[in-house]
Amino acid sequence: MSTVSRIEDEPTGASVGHAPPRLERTRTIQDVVDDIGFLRNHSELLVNDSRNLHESIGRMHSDSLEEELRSVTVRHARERLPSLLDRLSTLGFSWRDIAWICGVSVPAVRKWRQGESATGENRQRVARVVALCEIAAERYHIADVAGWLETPVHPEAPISGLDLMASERFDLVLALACEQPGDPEQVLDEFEPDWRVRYRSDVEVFTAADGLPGLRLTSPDDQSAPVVC
Amino acid sequence: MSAEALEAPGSPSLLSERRIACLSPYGIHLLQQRFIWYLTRFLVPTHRLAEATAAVFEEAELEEEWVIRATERGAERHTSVEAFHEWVRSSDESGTSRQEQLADPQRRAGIRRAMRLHLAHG
Repeated sequence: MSTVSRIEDEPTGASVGHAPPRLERTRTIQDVVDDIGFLRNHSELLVNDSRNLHESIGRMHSDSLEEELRSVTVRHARERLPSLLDRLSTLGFSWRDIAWICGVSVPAVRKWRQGESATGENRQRVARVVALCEIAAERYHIADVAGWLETPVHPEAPISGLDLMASERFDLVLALACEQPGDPEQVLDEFEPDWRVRYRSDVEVFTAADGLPGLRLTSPDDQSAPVVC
Repeated sequence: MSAEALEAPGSPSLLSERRIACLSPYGIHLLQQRFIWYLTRFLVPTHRLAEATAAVFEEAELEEEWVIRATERGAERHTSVEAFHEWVRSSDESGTSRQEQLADPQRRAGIRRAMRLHLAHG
């Protein structure tokens, strides 16, 4: 039989009071540095996880928007083509821009308006423009969709929503509509990575003395001297 | 074609015929760029030419749409051209002429809407 017996009962007040004091090691500055370093690494992991999650949800949002665009397009593709074109006309689109986005000539659009049939692919293209306008207006409350699409995305590049649509980048137009990303430069970076270099120019448009636009150099020495009017 | 042969013909010398082909706006800007280069040896980016001339192209397109609509309803061509000019040079409730507003890309769609509404009720 063992001589060591286990104490099964709760300790008495006397035994608790007489327990030997536990000595903590004095924390040094190295310990503090280690602890803070650990916290920093841990928070960095959390930031990365959070960023990945944000990107993943962003992609899901973008995919779901494209799916919605497809679904609304299918609904509009059942309508008569002249009525789809009337919708775009009422919104204020120019016939030239409609033709350009759909990849056809202006006379072709004129014939469609007069009732001539279009290929299924072209009907789908017109329906997709109508669908995008509907989503931009109803979901994102863009009051003047045609005016919004015609305005350059960024002051330093002559690229508008219409350019994106003509290049089949409806996804980027939807991204601009929902302001994700908030910075339109990111949209331009994806659409035309070299836009900053390509559209950099020492020539600017200004209003001349006769009230009409003219062109001049932007360098400070030449501000007062119009080059081309 | 040599750049020396370029000239702007007066309206009376233009015959009313079926158009066979025409330059796109980008084609016109390229032609302008080459012509400026020919005259001055100064290379103007086409996108700046587009920015400076956009309002003119816009007005020409609106005029075409107006005249086609009006003549389809039996109006004389010159009468409809005059009516368009009167309309586009007049101001709307903003106090600015429609022609001036065409210089702003954000306001072009609004002018088109107003014109189509005007024609629908005219």
